Amino acid sequence: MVKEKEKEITLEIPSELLETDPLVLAEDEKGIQTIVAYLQATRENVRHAEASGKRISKGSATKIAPKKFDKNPLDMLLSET
Amino acid sequence: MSELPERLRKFIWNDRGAPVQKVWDTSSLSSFLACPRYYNWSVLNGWRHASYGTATGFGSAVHEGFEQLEIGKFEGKSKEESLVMAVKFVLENFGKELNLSDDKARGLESCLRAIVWRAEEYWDDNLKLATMPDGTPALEQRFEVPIGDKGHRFSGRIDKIVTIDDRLYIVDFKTTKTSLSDYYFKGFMPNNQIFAYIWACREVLKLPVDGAIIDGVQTGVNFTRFARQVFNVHKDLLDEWYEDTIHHLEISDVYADSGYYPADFTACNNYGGCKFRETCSHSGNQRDMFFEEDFRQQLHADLEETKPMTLEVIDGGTK
Repeated sequence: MVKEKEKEITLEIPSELLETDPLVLAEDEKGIQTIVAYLQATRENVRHAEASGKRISKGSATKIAPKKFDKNPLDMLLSET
Repeated sequence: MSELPERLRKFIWNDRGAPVQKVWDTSSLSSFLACPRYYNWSVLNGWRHASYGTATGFGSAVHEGFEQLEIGKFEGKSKEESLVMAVKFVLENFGKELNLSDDKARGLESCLRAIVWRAEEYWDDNLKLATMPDGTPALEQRFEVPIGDKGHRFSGRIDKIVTIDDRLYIVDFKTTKTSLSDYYFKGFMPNNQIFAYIWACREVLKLPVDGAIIDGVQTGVNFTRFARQVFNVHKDLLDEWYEDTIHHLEISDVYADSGYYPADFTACNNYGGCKFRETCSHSGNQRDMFFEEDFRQQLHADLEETKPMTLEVIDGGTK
């Protein structure tokens, strides 16, 4: 149960791809796109961690940042009442 | 001395069989100014510390990855397409080498992160890449121009030329592990590289550049940060730098002619300490012992190709 919860909030690290022979990976466009998407996501997570004053670590890079709302959450709640 | 085709070699051997620099750059100029003895041993005679690790080319890999992003953008590719192109390029050209790095802040994943994060940070950039007269993007512009009238030349490589509000600026990428603070950027004013490149652009290449931008990239194990600083340089400062540089190059000729390069102990402790500090602290035969045990010689290719036969019998190379 705990593991499932962890899975929900943690980014999956494409370790296998990152450990692949670079010349083999260079021919795998889908693999490159996976790595790009992973690194793009780590940027969001790190930015969130930095904004929260947290230390930057592997954990903060892979811990998925909470979704940002388009509107102020308080305004959203008030509009629904 | 040499039967190789006539081209301007960066280094040549003089009549006494000692190496002399003919084409200068900001790195060798800074070494010479810091300590002529260091310059002689390190730049001219190519002495490297034996424990010096395999260079991973991290800075070059990041620079070239950024350049691929710029090319993709210039060619009208999307951000995602340009990223795939840049990552593929780095994997093919630097991947194996970067995987050998013991330093995780300067390995393959850090390099790819820097490229991906840069695209996120600067894809919609207010610095617009300039176009050369032949229509190509103003990236990796190399120059080699005469400086003064004593046969010296100066060379360099400008990473990028950009426009901001119709004004031209040269851009130099810098990768570092240190924080991109005000203190970091203060190190670029005054600075030989900035002054030399602006001088070459304005006075020799006749490009009316207003100044230079240092485009800093800080790489850590789990993050990359970016910061820039613009430096506008007045013509009076450039004229002064030019006069100073001519003077220094003339002094270098005096040292080359006499074969005597004095030490300057004021630079011994810069940047964590000079690699020759221990060697300079000993004399005579003891100094030779340090060279034999702690250093190995790797001459510049221009010198290696034209090496006079007599030098090959000298134990441990030339000093």
